[in-house]
Amino acid sequence: MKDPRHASLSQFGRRVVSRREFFYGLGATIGATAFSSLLADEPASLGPLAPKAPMLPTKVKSVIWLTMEGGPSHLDTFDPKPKLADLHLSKFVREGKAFSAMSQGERYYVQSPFGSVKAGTGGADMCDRFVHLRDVADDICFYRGCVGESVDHPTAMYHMNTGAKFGGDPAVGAWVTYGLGTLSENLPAYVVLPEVAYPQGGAGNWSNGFLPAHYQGTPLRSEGAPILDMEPPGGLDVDHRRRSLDLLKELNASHADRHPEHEALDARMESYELAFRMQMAAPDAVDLANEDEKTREMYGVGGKATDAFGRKCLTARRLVERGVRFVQLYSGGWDSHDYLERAHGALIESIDQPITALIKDLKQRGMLDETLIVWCGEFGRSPDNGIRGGGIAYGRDHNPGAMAMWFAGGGVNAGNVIGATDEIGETAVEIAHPIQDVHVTILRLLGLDDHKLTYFHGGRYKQLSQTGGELIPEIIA
Amino acid sequence: MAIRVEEERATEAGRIARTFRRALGRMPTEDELESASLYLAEMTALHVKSAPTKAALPVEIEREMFEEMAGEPFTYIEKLDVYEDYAPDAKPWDVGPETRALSDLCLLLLNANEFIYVY
Repeated sequence: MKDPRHASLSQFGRRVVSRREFFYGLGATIGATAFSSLLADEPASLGPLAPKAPMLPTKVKSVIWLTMEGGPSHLDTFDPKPKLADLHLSKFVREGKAFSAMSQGERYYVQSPFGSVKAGTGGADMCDRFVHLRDVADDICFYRGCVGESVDHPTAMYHMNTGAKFGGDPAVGAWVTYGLGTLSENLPAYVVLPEVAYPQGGAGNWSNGFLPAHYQGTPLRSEGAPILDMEPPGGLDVDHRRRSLDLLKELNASHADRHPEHEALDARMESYELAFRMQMAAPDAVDLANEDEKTREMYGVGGKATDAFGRKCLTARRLVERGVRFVQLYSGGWDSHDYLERAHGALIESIDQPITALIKDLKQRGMLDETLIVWCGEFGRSPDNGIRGGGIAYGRDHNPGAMAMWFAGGGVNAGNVIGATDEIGETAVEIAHPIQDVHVTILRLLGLDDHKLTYFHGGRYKQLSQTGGELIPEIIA
Repeated sequence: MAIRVEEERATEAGRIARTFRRALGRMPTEDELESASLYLAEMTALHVKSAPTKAALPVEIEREMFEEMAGEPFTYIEKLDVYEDYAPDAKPWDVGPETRALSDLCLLLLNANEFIYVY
């Protein structure tokens, strides 16, 4: 391959090696060689984002990850527990170490304010407020065995999104785009559609971490212009920008010749070019006016409750259609410590029709097999609640011991319910797995091997699961 | 920066050199001088064709928040008193096409890797 460093050797007859680079080189020779050979296969225009073949056979090309931020209650969505109705308002006593980190005062069992239905041929349990999703239950693999570790939102969000509780590690989307590259030249490989208020933990939830900056998630704003400062100031046309970028490229290229040892310079030059291409392509990708009225209606665009999430789901389909590798959608406000019926009821209504439309739409376009849809929060909720505000406004506290999660699309064991929680839904007891096993399984569905998808950083090869995880075979078809 | 450079040097070559000196602390090479001169000519031609429209500074801003207990969104108006006695720098609509073209060059140099990274 062409290495600018070799060019500089002949050009100047010597090469400056910084102290840091010298020591790095001692430890990273094998990693650098492997990475260089990866780079050699890429067409120049996409740089590190050039598409790469999956390591293992798969049909899945892209991911749509639906994150319900705040901790959606598994007990009031996809894991109903009739037993709680019998225990309703009886005193809840936890034993031993299981004492809740959130406990204060007296606690009572709380029944679900909703009824439940059996949906699909697999008879998956579902809260009766999901009036649309039950139609596509046979396309969904429900998983009840995931066990988290954090009782607090930001650490739990980081754990679910990056595999580590502390923040600062690469998000799943960053790992996936690192492993597979992008199929879109003109749009970011990894797009995030957050709420107006970012999730707890902020932009660290879609960070590239220690991976190169190319793999960072790009948030599109949920209101107004999707990307700030995307529209050039009035009066400046394409020629103006193109010509300016050309001169900038010329200046940067001669600067890079003088500093061949700094790879960050290339990334920065490439980011300008991507921004230019995005100015052409992004406005069209997110303009839902291009969809016909029937489609917009199907997603609930314009509906009072469904408009916001409907727009996100429709945008997500348009993005994966255009080759975006990973889209993460946020629905916020699932932290129902009280007023469970009102809060969860409204949230379920806001996502039910849009998500159902997304699954149906992908299916009718023949894209469902090529897309993996993930639905989850950061933890589940407790079967009990304390007294808040002087009265009992039924709600639930955080519970990482059990949660609701489901998968749809390419390669998943659709129409089945995997794993189970105990009779009050406090702890996952069957096919229980930690979050890293879910990550390993998701990577496998995408044709990636967690043990091989590594990056040398901080003196060792790092991976999404941190120190390795187990596949959950039941989730895979 | 463009206005300052214009005041400091009278010729185009002098202004380009001054811009490089101010941004990068060095004189341009022959090639760079030539490219920059061509760039200025092209940018001036584009700016002659389109005049920027004047935009007013905002004096208040509408902010959106979510009510802590009920989760309902609400908005309120924040007055931006910082703009009351604010004297802005020259804006694109205050200057001619040549100055706008020179400011394009200034912006470009401030976005160059050579300016942003110090090795």
